[in-house]
Amino acid sequence: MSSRPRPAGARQGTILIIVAGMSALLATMALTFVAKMRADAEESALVLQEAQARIMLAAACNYIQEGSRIGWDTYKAAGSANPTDANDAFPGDPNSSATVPVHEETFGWIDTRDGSSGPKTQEGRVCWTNVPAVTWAPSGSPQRPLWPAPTSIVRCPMYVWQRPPCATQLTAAYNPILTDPNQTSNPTYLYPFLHNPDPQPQVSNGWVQLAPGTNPPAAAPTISTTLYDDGANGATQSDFIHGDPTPRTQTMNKSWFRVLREGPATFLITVGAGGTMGFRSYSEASAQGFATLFNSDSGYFQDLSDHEMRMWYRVEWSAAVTDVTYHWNLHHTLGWQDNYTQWPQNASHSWAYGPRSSGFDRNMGGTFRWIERLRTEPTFW
Amino acid sequence: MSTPRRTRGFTLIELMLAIGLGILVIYTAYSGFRMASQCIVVANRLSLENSLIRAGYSMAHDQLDYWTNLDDPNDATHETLRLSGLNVSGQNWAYSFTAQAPFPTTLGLPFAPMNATGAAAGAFPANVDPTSGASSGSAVPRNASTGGPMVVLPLVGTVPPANWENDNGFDPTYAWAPHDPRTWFRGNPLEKWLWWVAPNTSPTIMGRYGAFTNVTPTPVFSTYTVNGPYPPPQTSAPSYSANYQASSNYPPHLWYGRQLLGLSRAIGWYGLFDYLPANTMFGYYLSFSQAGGNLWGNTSSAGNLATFYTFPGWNGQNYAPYPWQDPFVANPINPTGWVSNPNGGWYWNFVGQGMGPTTMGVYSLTSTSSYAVSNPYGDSIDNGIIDSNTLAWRCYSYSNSDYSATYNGNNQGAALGLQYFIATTLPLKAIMAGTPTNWPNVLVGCGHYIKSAHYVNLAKIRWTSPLTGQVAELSFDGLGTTLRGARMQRRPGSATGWANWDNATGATNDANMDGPQ
Repeated sequence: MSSRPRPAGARQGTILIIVAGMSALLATMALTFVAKMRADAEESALVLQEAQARIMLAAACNYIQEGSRIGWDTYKAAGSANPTDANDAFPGDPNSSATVPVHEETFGWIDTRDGSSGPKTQEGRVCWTNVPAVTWAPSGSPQRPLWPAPTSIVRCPMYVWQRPPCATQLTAAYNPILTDPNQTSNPTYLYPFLHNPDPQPQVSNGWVQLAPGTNPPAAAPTISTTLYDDGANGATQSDFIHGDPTPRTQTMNKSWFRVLREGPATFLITVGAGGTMGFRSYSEASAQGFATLFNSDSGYFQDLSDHEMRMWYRVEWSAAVTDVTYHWNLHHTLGWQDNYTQWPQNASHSWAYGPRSSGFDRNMGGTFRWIERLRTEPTFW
Repeated sequence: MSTPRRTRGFTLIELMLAIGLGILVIYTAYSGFRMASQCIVVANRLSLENSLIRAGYSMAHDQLDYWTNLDDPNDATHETLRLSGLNVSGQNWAYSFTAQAPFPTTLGLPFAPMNATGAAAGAFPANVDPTSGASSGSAVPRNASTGGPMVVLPLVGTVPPANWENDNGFDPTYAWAPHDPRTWFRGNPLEKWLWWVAPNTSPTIMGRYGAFTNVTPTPVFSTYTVNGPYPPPQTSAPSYSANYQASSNYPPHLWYGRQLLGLSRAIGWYGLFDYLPANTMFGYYLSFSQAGGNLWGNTSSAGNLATFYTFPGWNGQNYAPYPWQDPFVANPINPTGWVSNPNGGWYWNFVGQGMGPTTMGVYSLTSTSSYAVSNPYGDSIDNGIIDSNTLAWRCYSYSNSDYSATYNGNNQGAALGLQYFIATTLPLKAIMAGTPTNWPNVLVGCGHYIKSAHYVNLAKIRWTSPLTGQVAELSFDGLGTTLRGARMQRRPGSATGWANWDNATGATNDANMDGPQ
């Protein structure tokens, strides 16, 4: 008996068709799913960008508040044309030849003493100059003075520094008390000593950190002043005072803000989430010597700009801060007693987090009279 | 002859195995396909839900920055909060809005024009020099009102103009800078009248500074009696009477009180907080006009200070109830009906923490109370219809929001009052109409209120699953446009759209609702 060869190809082809069809369906669904998820991720990225940009509004407002009082140390000495870091005069002695970089307190964007444009020092020295110095977009615009002069602009990319200025170590206790029961014979046992400076800079300046129970060396350690402050100009990224401004890469291209001081106390804030670092255009970055931040490639900058979210706000700063009148009234249960006799200003028994504490209202930087989101991009920002 | 070849078929066992394996293969493939389909359906549904939540998120931020859920400048039917000239004198909650020349008795809502004249007069008066009655000489705004930077006045080293204190109207271009003496509050907040300590006297609240600062240029004061004892435990002390009168010259400081009084009637309590600087002391002096009267917030005897701290029910020696008997509590679910306070007192208009009479600042006034921009378009409460009196009541009232608002003890319904406050301040609306029923229902809202000196811009996104009915909500507080900023975004008038602003050289900017209209 013989048998005819089986038409195997037909059956194999059927399975192939079935498998191929199913695979195609699954692949199609998977592709659709991936495409959908990608679209969702892109939409979510916009949400993230908006959140980051709005955080920048709060950051810009905080910057304006702080800038009304602190942060200015370049005010010109008597006879100097422009303030520089090198010709700071010691406050209180305008005729002194000493040039000491200091951080003196100022009195608001509108000086609370006489209404003049600040920030100004206690002696009335203006912390800015009107000399045009920087070119900002759009191209062809006249130069603007350095921040914080009226009409000036400041650009604040918000990446994180490798090490901020004046960074200290996270050590909690530099001088722990020796409590080791095996060292009860140590003369420092259970005694509090302040052998080690507290706190200590992140960049070691030569200060020692002796272990508990260790006697300090007879000779004082050599302290590196260079590592503390390498000089006012030209930080080397290794000193304590200036910190290391090198960006941490994972924090790059996230968000920035930029402020135009349009009036004595009115500001135009631009907030952004993206990679332009607050430059409005490549030509602006190039004119200010920052083209290399964008690989000297205008196309690259344009790509970053196209994927960026920007919003514009106007705000008015005010020196007014919230009152501390909570205890100016009558006590609600004792009636005839005035609260202020029990809770005077800055009472020691007020607690910092208590809603009825005078200290709860502490604010050194002023407030904002109003905030207005602009519907369209202004000509200058 | 050849015999036909027989084709060998399957055996029964082969057939059964083949069918079984085939079914197994097909079932496995089908299961995988079905599982993949279900996954995709679920993913698509979640994707749709996430997309709608994102849309709600964007809409909430849009409302936070442009206040379009409260006032749409392109839709005349959504401009209810622009009402002004509201006469609420017949309402029992509005007793304090008596005439104080040159200010009218009418009220405006948060988007009302402040300086309007004529039939659409705002609560803020037209600017008139009160010394001469002339409409010129005290022009407001003093500076260009084209949206430029605020102007700091008086200029350094200059003497302010003679009528510097006479401005009545709100000047949007003036920077309320603290170096200007007219922005200073003058009074002694710690001086107060205690009827149970010094009865039969006129109240001496905040000192007698009415001769130095006042709303009116011609204040009239009366003789007052200081009658001990003070402090306890003395039971008697010599008393004396004193007559005090402003000089022939009107009080040198008028501006501060007029700004407060004008703003307090122009745009509601929240607007008052929003417009005034953070260090404002909420009090001003009035002329004495009610002999022996102690009705605070209305008139003040002997030139005493009229605080915004109304203490209704305090009448002479009658001790007042504490102000957590608020209108929301009294009538939490029927806003169109006016009922008496269950304890027989008055409604509370503008109170602080309820501990005693004195002029206070924003923190004290909001430490236990919240003030909001009431939303007139809340369907759940108003069904889309709300009368102007109710709306004015909401915009000129507070809500108790301290710890006592978490329960309904003492039959005061404090928690119900707070719920009513939230419902009328932050109603949620669907992000779009006509969505398929199998789509998640997403609601969005953004409310603005002040609490403990914090300007809260609370946004909520709430979505309901069409399959399970599960409700989830995302709420957050954002930083964005303030009420004054929102007014600056809008052109005056009805359905006139957004006000353009630009800083190009020579740019002409639109007038906006922050300026004279």
